Amino acid sequence: MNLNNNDTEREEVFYRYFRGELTPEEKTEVATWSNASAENQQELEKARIMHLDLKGLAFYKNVNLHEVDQSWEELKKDNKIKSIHQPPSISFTFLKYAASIALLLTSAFVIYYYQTQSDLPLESAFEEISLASTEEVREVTLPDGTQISLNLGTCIEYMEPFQNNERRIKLTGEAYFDVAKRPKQPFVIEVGNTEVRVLGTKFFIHKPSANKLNVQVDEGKVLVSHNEIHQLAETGEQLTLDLQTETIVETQDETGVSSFWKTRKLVFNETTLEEVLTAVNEAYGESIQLEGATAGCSLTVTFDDEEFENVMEVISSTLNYDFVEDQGSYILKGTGCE
Amino acid sequence: MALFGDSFEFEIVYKQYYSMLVGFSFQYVEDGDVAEDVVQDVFSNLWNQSDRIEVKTNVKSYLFGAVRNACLNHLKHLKVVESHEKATIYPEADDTSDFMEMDELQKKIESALAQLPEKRREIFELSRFEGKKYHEIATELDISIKTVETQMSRALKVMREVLGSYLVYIFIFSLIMLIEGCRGKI
Repeated sequence: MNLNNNDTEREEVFYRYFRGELTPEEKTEVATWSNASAENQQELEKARIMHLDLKGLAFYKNVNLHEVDQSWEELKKDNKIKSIHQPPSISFTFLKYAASIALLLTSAFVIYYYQTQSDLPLESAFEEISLASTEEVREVTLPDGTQISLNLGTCIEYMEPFQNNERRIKLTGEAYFDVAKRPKQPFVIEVGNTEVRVLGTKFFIHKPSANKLNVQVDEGKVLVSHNEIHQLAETGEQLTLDLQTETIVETQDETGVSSFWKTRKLVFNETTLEEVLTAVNEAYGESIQLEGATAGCSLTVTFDDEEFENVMEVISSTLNYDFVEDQGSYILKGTGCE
Repeated sequence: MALFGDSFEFEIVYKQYYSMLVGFSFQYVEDGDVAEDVVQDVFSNLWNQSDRIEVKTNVKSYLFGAVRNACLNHLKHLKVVESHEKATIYPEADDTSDFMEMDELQKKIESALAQLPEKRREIFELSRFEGKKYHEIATELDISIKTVETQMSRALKVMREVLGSYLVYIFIFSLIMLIEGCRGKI
């Protein structure tokens, strides 16, 4: 070991020094070298910080064992932070009790899975629930009172009861959530790699295409997280996550088409005819063709729970267009509105 | 504009990063309680001075940078206590320091690693991530310990370049403190 060679070699020796890989003699050698001058001491200090940074950056993601909720309560108390939620009407003793139950259940869960792996079925306190809507929009109520509307072809899965400090469900498809308020137990929805986290609110999850996910908040606040990106959405806001570019952007759905399956409502406000038709097609699952000019055509109207035929009747008569059915496909014909 | 609209947003951020930050902090201070205290202090500060703190990139980067600085400050204090020096008032890393941009830094490290020759990267990762000792790496890869040393020193040089350009402020900062700390001895 020669500390007087060059920086690169010395740095490597320091790396081992901080990792405790040097022999006692070598350690003494480093200490002697460092004490020889202020520059040396600084260099060793720099190496120490680099060693710490390398460690910190390598391992920070591995730890997930801390009592987050408890520490949050402490921080809140120390800083007199007022929670905007109702404090839980639950006594401290009960909390402790509840925590130990949760712990027991968690271990039961772990054992259950362990046993399943070795093909030994065992009764478990946890039950995996999966609910799907195959033929019609389905309304379900979870044990905590949360109400979910599942659009056609949607499935949710969750563990009953929920694991200790969060209500986590997996979603495939589209749904509207009216989440029961439980400040101490966040509601988390997993959609593939994306997480939507919420404490009590009403919102939609919409999947406009395979690579897009849309969250529309009716009331309250949710946090949308995908890998390392997080974004809050509040009442009236809408976020669209693009899974390809991994970006979240604020979007607007003025016509209400993405939540139509639940609300049965379409709102047009000086909306161009092309946009109106796109929305109607998506909402009712049709494919109306547009023929002729459309210049200057726009509509201001709200359709609330209307049949497709009535909607088209209103649109065509307002704009003086013809709405015809031809061999099972619909055509809207006109000459523009100027 | 205030950082957090209300305590709900603060709570979400807290719960999202708390564990990660404690894990990060622990790598520096190697004491679970201290690691948690450091993170708590950073959050308290963030909440109480949120109108004063300028977040340059995003809250996450701010938090990691602030926790790192707080850890290094803590280690400095420890050193002072150990060497029985007259208590010096150290400047704390404040909101003007250039916090590291975590995501970007991670990407830089990853791309720097990707550019290393395969063997060198393998050696470096065995040491850094799996905590293997040099002689274990040498046995595992059937190479000499001397080769491990050479490869490690080259990999570390690359890491120094990447980290160095991002962590400039804190280096200067710690050097100043070190000089102050040494004045009594020299």
